[in-house]
Amino acid sequence: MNARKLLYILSLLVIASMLIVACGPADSNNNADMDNNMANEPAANEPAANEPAADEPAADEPAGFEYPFKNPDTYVVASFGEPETLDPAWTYETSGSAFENNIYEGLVWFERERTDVFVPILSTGWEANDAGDVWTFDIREGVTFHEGGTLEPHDVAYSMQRALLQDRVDGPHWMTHEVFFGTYSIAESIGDGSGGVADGTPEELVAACELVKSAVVADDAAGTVTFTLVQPAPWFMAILANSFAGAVVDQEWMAENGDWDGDCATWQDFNDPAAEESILFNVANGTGPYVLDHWTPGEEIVLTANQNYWRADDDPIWEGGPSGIASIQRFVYLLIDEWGTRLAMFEAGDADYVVVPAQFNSQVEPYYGEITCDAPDHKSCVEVASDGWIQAYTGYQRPIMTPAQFNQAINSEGGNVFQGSGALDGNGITDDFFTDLHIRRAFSYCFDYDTVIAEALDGEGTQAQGPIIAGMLGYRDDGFVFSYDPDKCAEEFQLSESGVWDTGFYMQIAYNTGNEGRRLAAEVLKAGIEDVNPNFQIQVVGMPWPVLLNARRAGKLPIYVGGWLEDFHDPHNWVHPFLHSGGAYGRVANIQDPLKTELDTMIAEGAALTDPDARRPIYEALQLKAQEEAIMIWMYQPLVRYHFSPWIEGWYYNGAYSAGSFSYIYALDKVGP
Amino acid sequence: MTNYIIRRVMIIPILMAGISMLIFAMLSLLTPYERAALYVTDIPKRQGAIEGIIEKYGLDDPIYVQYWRWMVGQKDEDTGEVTGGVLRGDLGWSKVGKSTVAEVIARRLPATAELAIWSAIPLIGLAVWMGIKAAVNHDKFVDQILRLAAIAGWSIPTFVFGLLLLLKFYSDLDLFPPGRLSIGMNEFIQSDAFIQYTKLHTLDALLNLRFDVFKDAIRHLVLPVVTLSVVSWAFLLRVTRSSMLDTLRQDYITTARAKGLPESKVISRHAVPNALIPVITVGGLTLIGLFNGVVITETIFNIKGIGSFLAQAAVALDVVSVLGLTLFSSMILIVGNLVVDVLYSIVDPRIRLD
Amino acid sequence: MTFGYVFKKLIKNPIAFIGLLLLLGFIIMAVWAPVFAPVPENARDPYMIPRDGFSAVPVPPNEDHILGTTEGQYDIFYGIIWGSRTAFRIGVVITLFTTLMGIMVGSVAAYYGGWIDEVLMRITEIFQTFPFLLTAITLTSVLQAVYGRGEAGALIYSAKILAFLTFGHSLAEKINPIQLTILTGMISIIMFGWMTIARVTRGNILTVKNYEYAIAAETIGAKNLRILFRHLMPNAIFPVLVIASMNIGSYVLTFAALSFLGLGAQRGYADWGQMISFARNWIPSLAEYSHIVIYPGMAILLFVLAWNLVGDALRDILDPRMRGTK
Repeated sequence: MNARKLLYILSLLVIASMLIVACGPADSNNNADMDNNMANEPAANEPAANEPAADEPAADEPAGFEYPFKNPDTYVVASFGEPETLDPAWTYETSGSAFENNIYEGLVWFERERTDVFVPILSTGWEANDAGDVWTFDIREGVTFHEGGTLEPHDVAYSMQRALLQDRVDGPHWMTHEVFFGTYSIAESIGDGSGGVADGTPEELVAACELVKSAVVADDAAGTVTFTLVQPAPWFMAILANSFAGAVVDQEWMAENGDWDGDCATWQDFNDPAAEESILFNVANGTGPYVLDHWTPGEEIVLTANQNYWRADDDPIWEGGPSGIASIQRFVYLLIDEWGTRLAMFEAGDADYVVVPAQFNSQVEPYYGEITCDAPDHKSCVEVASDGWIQAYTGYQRPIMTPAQFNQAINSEGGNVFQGSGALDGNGITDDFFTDLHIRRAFSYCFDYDTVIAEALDGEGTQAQGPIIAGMLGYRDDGFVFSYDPDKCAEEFQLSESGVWDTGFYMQIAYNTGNEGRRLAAEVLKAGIEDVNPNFQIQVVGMPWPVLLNARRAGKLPIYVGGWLEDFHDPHNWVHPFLHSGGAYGRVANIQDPLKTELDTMIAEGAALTDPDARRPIYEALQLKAQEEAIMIWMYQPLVRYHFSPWIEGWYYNGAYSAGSFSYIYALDKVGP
Repeated sequence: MTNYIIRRVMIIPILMAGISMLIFAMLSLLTPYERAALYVTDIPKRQGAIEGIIEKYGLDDPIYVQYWRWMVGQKDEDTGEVTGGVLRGDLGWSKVGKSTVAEVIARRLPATAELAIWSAIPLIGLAVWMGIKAAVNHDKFVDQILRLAAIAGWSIPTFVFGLLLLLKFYSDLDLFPPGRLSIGMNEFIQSDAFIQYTKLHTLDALLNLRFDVFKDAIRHLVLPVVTLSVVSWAFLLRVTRSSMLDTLRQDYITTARAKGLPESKVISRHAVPNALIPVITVGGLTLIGLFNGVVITETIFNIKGIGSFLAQAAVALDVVSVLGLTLFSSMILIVGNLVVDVLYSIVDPRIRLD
Repeated sequence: MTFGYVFKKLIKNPIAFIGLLLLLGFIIMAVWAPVFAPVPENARDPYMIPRDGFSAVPVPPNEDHILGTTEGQYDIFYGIIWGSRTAFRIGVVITLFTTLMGIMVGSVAAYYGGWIDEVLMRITEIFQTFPFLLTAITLTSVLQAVYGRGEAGALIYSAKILAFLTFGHSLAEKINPIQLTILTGMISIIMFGWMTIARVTRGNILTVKNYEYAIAAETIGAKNLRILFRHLMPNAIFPVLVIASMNIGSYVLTFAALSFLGLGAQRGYADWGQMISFARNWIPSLAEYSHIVIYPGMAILLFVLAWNLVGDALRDILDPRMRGTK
């Protein structure tokens, strides 16, 4: 009996102690809150935990803290995101093309931070005819591939032809086909263009291949390659600087290793391969300053400096630029999905660069040392600390934009959960809900741009003006933009003839689970709309990517919060996807006539001109129209930060690089203390 | 017994077929478009892109055609060459793992195996010892405390426990970091100075006589091992306890006591060996049960093993990876079960396998 | 063995008493959730945790939020209180279904024997061979995709029935998309959670079947089914109830694990596992934000502990033979 009583007491004690543990941290948290810099200095803090934490934040960092110098000559990046393949013609995502930019080279490359000035790489010069649709490049001599082959003009031509003919179905070559042939795929050049590659007769297939070969012609004797475009394309150089079209491979080596040998009778066997079917999936043979050492999927990718690099020591790539063999001998890219681990590695000196999601910026700010800021009067330029060890580069405008796309003709066939009841009865929306300009404008007024920028981007972003991003041809100095204004929002709703103000509505906005930025944008839109009228109801739902993709394709989503990263730096790559009826966003936005025809015509006009002064008014008009017609909610463009260890030198920002931190390692140095 | 083993082995293919069919049936609930999403990480930029992918991978073929293709491979119409097919030993291409499923397993198994092996030590040793302790002191204070502890251990969510450990021992004290090795060590063991015999870092370190590597590996193993074993530990403790209690009630124990043998001898000589027999079965099952735990443990502690990969592949709906890895882990479970059963019959002659 | 007898025994057992006390606490919490944590005026769904801004950085306990806020500024106190309702609903409904399925499969297999038994047990074995959590993850992902489509079909009806039992959601209405991801998780756990009960039921019935009264009934010529329900079921069902009561806790744990992996409740829903999943982003500075793990973690731990304490004692009382088995 005694033991039993004891047990009662003991059990109670166990529970009580659990509760005490549960309540315990509240105290230490309050301390931590007061002194918000002590996050990672636990051992030193313990004795002081009960004292008022009024110390200088600097006291946390032991005086004379020295950031460790590890891995000399090795540049270590901890990041997430893995290439789909290392075949440049196949690649259509940033991670893969960043590696390819180091391994492969094209005829031209961007001059340092410029996105519109190009330096010759595998060419020594070029000229275009007066019309601007025939380009001839002089091919550099004395260049060798990693595996020993010598660069000849036919290799350059072969590489472009291979890219055009490989043309995987979800790949980047809709752009390449557009500049060369005015089509969007190789299939359109086969027969009458209605079938796929598999439907072509042998003659039609050979004809399509010959067409490609006639547009890209090498002259080994003269040492030139000539490209013939369907019409002048102002962005042709920008496409050539991209690895998907520009990267040069060794024709003989490719044929020996089982890829296409250049014969028009067999190209269809190499058309549209799965990623792993290309021989370049995980081996590489380029001319670039780095050689692929190994790729262990899910873990790491390692490049080493090309010891036989062709560039002489006295031949810098641009004035004052790098020359000779690369300075950084080894590049290690570690796949670390967990942010916490990346941070720990950064602190320990194990990584020279880590990817920091914007919402965690505050966790690294206490360690900021040297800060370079690109957006002078912006929040991101506020000095946060200056005696730390991180080299922080802040305020760079990446060519990315997040819009919310309206669907002006929602597909309700077979039921559509996203539009509720499907009628404007307070529990749903009709198919043509967003055809109403007033409703689109109301939504644009009800979106709190500043809150989203403050919360999703930690204040580092700017409201978008329309499809064309800041600093680009077509971006206006003035003109109308929406701002968050609940009164105007309510007014627009009341102006709508649908009577939505009285009936109310219900709809769902879906985002793909895990995409925090899109979720937040949807939540802020929801909050803004629901605030103006209690009868308005929006449900924000996280969904797996397949569901979202499927629903979007079927035209069922009333609103899709998306994102666009440019493929090449030209306004055409912004207005076409967003506003053209065949664009990636345009074709599911279901813009109605006459606006649809008007936009399509203007876009075609702008693309046909080469003179920037002639193009400008067209793009400015498109920009204004997109805003006034509230075709989408033009939400925001992010400003990004780059965080390096103190040892990386020579970095600069180029907006056209697919990975700011390692797209061109050749230009960087790692210098010890 | 040989007959029994043969029969059990013969039934494995049936189980495997059943398992693969069930998963295939599950995945057939998806439309071709949803399956194609695996290959499209962003909205398609060209019209007809998804339709092209569906055609390329044959995602709109009838489900039995797809199953057949996965089982026996695909025949190229022109060359007559057959590629792939599980029956031909090819588990297929893992889209998420960016390599073949077999390579994924080879690359990721060592991390999981090392974790499981180390977890088994405290698990079996401690749990059995405590279980015996509790039974010997039946209904006394020690027993009740251990019983309570077992229930508490059984009730704690793996991920909460793991996070709490990280909170204290990593975030606060910075003693035991997540991952498998520190970055420097990781670079080192990949160099020529270190031979990776088994890819189990602890074992390799000992074989290379590199105690710094060993120490580093252990430092990374402590928290995940504790996390992984705590639930199973509670379970095993209870089984040992009740088995021991049963044994202590047996006649021969009473006889031994009556003969005047000292209590400690009765327990160590007579009771424990017999009480451990059922523990073997359950212990085997517990090790198998670790498989569920590794998913969460590997996810929290950032260990690139089988469990975290499968979770990743399942969420991405990578059919081939999920099928391949589920088959593989089911195979381990089945063989493990068989081994346990056979062992059981060897140590306990009373059990007849038929 | 009356209910009163069992209850008296439970009260007398110190361990069970603590369990009952905790359980009572959670019941009070769930029933009077609106009193402890009042629903904000303009809230559309009381189960969506109210938030104070959108910022990602968690805020430690303060005057406005007595247990602090987690990532996304969701109030932890509110989430814990309303999360108790979610926990009860999920645990009880899943247990109900797995128990029914298990009893059905087990009793049919045991009673009919022969090839029916063989087939059913083979199927049970296949289900048991799956690594449970992994398969549940796969099935949940698939179901989320299937249900996301929102098309009608047999699966939708089963989800509707589940929604009706779990949330009291009308059968005529469309499923609330916020609840949908919870339902998919539940279905996965049910699909892969019935095997133990099936085996135990089968074993017990086989034992009971040999009892004389069953044989006697058969000789009199009573119909098969009647024998099954009249005589066999009640005798085999007690142990099953014990297992079921223990299972509630483990189902809540499994569901929390799914939520933790991002496959359970929607972000911001009052669900403990979902709340803890935020902690994954803050591991290196968890010491500073410990409140985001500890409070919801304690809630789950105590909830599951309560069920296990009661279940453990129940087992001792109802079926001394089962001591020590799972």
